[in-house]
Amino acid sequence: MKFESDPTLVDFVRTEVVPEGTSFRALHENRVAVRINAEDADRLAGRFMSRFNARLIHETAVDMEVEGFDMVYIYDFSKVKDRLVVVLEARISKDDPSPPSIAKITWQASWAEREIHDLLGISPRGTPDPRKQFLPYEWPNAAESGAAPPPPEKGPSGPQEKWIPLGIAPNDAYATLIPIGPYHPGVIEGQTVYVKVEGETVVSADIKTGFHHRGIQKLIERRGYHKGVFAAERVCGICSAAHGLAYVTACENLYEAEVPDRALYLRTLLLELNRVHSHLLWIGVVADVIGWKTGFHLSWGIRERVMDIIESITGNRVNYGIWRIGGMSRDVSKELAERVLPAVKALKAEMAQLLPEIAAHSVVKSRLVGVGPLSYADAFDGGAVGPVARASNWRIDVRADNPPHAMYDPKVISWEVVTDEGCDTYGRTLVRVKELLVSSEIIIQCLEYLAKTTGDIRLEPKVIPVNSEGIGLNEAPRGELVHYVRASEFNMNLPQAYRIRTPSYRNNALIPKMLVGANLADVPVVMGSTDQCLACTDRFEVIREGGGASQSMSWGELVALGRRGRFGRV
Amino acid sequence: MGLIDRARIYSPWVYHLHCGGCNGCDIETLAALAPRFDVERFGIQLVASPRHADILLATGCVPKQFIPMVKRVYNQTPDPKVVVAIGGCACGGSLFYDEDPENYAILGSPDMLIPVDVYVPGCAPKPEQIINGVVQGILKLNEKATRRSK
Repeated sequence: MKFESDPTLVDFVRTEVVPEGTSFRALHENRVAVRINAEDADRLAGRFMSRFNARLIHETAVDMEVEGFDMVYIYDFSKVKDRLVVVLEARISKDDPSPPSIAKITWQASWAEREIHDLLGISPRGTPDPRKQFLPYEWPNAAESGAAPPPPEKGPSGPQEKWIPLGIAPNDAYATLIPIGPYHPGVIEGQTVYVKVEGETVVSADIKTGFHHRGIQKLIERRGYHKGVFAAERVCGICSAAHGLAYVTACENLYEAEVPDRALYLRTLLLELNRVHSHLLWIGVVADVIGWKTGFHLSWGIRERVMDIIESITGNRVNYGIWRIGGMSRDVSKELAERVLPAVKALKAEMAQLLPEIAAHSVVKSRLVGVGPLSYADAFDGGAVGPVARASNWRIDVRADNPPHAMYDPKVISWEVVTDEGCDTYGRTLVRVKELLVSSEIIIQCLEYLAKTTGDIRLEPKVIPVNSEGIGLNEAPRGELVHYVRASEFNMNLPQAYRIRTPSYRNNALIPKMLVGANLADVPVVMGSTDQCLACTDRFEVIREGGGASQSMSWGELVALGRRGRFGRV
Repeated sequence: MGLIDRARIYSPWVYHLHCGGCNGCDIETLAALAPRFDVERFGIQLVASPRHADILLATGCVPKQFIPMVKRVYNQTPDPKVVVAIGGCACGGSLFYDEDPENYAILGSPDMLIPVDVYVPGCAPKPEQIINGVVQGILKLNEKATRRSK
C-alpha cells in the first residue's frame, strides 16, 4: 500500500488555518509544515484550540547548531480535515531563547515546556509552571541569573539527604504531607508523589518524575535510522510493539513510503496482541492494588497464553525485534496462522466470559466507582489520551483519526472506538475490558487474512532524503504515541533530531488533578488507573551526582552538553 | 545451620529492585510470580519492603538519578543478602550504555554500585531463566549464611 497525501491541503492551511505563516511546505501524508514568527505561537495556539478544536500533540525544540533553535509545535487537525497534522516551526536565537509560552493557554503544553527547558535551556516566557521536569528540583539555575551555582551546603552530604524535591513546602502543610516513592509497592517503577491530606482526604498533590531518564532520544540521534528501531522498542518493554510501529511510521514518513499489504497486516496483528497483553496486565495490576489477588491471578493467567502466541509469531516475549523500515523481518506462515487462530478464538471466548464478571465484581465496583474523576472538559484541557480520554467520553483514537502504517482501514477490518461516560476509574476499566474484545476481533481478522494469502513482507528501503520531517502517530495501549524525526541536512544516515512523546507523559500530568478529593487509600488506584508507564515518560535527562565521588556538572556545562551537535561540536 | 538460616533457605523473600530499565524484565519477573510459573509454591514471595527481603532482583541499567536510591535499598536489606541481576541492562548496560561518547543519563549496570551475585542475561530473559537465576541465588544465600554462622 502506498501512503499518499492530499495535494489541496497546503492551500487549505494557507488560506484557512495559518494565514500569517511565512512559508508552507507539504510533508508526506497530509502533514503540512508552516514557518511562523515565534511571537505568534501563543496567539495561534489559542485560535487553533477555540476555533478548530485542534489538539496540541507535542511542543518541542530542535537544535539547529549555529542557526539557533527551531521551536516545533505539532497540532492535530484530524477532526477538521482527514488526517491533517500541522507542524508550526519558528526559529529563535540561542542568545535569548524565550519564545512565548503556550502552556498558559492550554495545560497540554505544560510538561512539554518544562521538558524543553531541561533539555535545551529554552525558557518559554510566562510559563505557569517553570519547575524542572526531569532534572531534580534543587538543580541550580545558573543559566537565568548568570551567576555561578551556589556552593554545596554543609551538613549531611550523602546523596539521599540532598534529595528532597518538595512540591509543597512543609511550612504551609497545615495538613499532613505524605511523600510516596520513588520506590513504593503501588507501581514497580520509581516516581515521587507528594500528597497533602486532611484526615484521609487528599487536598492537593504533586508528582515528580525523571528518575528513569535513559537518554534514548540522543542515542537514536547518534546511532542512525536502522539501529534506532531497536532502541525505540526498548523505550518501554510493555508497549514495545507500539514504539516499534511508531518509529517505523515516523521514518517511513520521511519519504514517499510504500509498504506491502502483508506487512501492514502483520503490524496490526502484533500491535493488537501487544494491546491485549498490556490491558490484561493492567487489569491484574489494578486488582492487585485494590487488594483483590484473585483478579490478579485470573488476568495474568490468561495473559500467559497471549505471550505464548506472541512468542510463536516473533520468537520473543517482550521486545520483538521484527520491525523494519519498509516492512517486517519475519513472516507468519499459513500453518502458524492456522494453529494460532483457534487459540485466539478460545482466548476471546474466555475473555468475553471472564472479563465482564471481573468488571461486575462487587469488590472491584466498590473500590473503583467514582474514584479519580476526570470530566470531559478537564480531559480536553489537560490533553488526556487513550483510555483515560475515552473513559471521559472523548472519542479520540489515533487508529481511527490518523492511522499509523498498519491496517486499520474500516473497509477492510471491522472494529470500533470504545468510549465510556463513567469519567472515573471504573469507566477506564470498562473501556479497557471492551477494547480487549475489540482487539481480539482484529487479531482474528488479521490471522484469517494471513492464512489465506502470501506475499512480500518487506520492500527495499529507500534512501532517506535530507531535510525532511516525519511524524509517527500510533495508538499505544496507553494512548496516543508520537515519534517526531527530522532528517539531517547533511548526513543521510543520522537524524538531526528525534523526539518521543509518550501517552503516559500526558496522562501523568493529570494525576494530581484526579487525586484531589480522593481518599488516601485510593491514591495507588488512581495513579494506576492511567496505566502509567514511567519507562516511557522519562526517556531522557541528566543528573549531577556521579557514582561514588561526586562528579558535579554545572548548569552551564549541561546547557553546553544539550546544545552540542552530534559530532561533538559546541 | 540454625533454624533461622534453614527457614530463610526454604522460603527466600524477594524484593524487586527496579533500577530504571524498560519494564520488560519487570513484567517477566512478575510473570514468574503469576499462575503459569507460580514460584510462590516454593515459598518464594515478593515483598513490598527491602527490609523484609533476602534476595534483591535488580532489573535495568541505572540512570544517574537512581544512584542514591539503589544504594539505599541495598543498605536497607538485612544480611545475608543476594543480588540477582536480571536482563542484559542489569548485566552490562545493554544498548543504553555507551562509552564514547558517553550516554549522559546512564551510569551503567547495577554491579558498578552494589555487589551482584548472579547474572541472568537476555533481553528480556524468560521467566524460566529468571527462576533459574533465583535458584542460583538461593545456593549463594545458603553459602553466605553458613559462612556467617561459622
